[in-house]
Amino acid sequence: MNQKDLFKIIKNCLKTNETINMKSSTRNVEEWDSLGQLAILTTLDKKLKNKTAKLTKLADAETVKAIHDILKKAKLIV
Amino acid sequence: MIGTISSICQYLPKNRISIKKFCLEKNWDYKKLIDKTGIKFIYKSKHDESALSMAITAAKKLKVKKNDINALIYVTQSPEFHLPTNACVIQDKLNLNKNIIAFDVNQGCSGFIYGLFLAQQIIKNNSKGKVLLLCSDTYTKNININNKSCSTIFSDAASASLISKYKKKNSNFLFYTDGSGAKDLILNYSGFNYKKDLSPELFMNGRKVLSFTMNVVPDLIKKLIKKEKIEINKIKYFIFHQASKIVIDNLTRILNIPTKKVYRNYSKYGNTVSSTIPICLNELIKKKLVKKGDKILLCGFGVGLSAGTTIMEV
Repeated sequence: MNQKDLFKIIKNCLKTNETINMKSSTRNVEEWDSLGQLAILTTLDKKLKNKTAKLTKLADAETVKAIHDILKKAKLIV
Repeated sequence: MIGTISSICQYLPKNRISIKKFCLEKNWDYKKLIDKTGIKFIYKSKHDESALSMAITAAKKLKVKKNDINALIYVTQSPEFHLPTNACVIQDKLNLNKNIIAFDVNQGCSGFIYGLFLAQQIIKNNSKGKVLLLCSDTYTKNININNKSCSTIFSDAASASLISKYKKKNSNFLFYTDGSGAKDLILNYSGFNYKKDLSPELFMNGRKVLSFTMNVVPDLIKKLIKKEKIEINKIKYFIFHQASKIVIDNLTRILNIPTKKVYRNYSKYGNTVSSTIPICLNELIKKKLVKKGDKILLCGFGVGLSAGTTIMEV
């Protein structure tokens, strides 16, 4: 998975018309509510073959950058 | 297992709420919500209806000779009293024998598994009688209706299960506790730390609870399956605590269980806390989807944060 894939996943999960980039967050994307966050967690885990369930910090990540950094640290994104 | 469930009854309050209707009133996107939670209806107890009165109603539905009961376990997080023990009040209201053990268990979504474990220990110690296991909660009384993540999920209900002696070998139970997540599902100021001007209000960090479930529950179940030396295809049904669709979908996916083996009824009843598992069991039995000898894996998880799992034989 790369950065572009991550943006696409988040956009699809949130069902938003907004452009998703590294600056997107719960504060500036209206559709990014708690249900949206659950959808992001689930979809990432599915795409990354159950490897994100152990990344408990993902549940707290409220920005695309934070999600990206956690995945990068876990070597799940290039 | 040494003890097995010989009878189950449930009680649901008369007030059934349509989540679609409720969301429309609140101007919330019901389609998006139901798509994630899967919950279409919840039940709300009336002001004059308590968890205790609901538990008594459920217990009265059981066809059992009162003299046969030698223990009463009451699982609740909606106690009518901090003291006396609510189970003692129930013993009197049900006119049960006085020479029994009766106690409360303060546990929520994993409470039925806790109760089952304790019932088994009691039967192991004194195999003559039966254990009455009551689960009842009224979380909705402490939910702010503007709190979308709680008001559209939690539901009130009670269940009564009768646990009797069973000759098969002792079954394993596995538990998990992580109190560092206590703040993620909590009723603040609900004990002796209450504040005069603050009414206790349920708070849930859904993301953290989901994360706990995805992280802990599959491993716990895999460990139990390994310990029991049983293959997944030998288990007729998996009954998970009916937290919501998103939670059960994730568990099914991570554990790679065929979806037809995972029983679900959250859409009809919502998350009834400690009663979700016995209500599912009751439905499975009533619909004759299980027969004698079938194995069912039960798993409860949530508030605590806590989890418990076991495999029972019908």
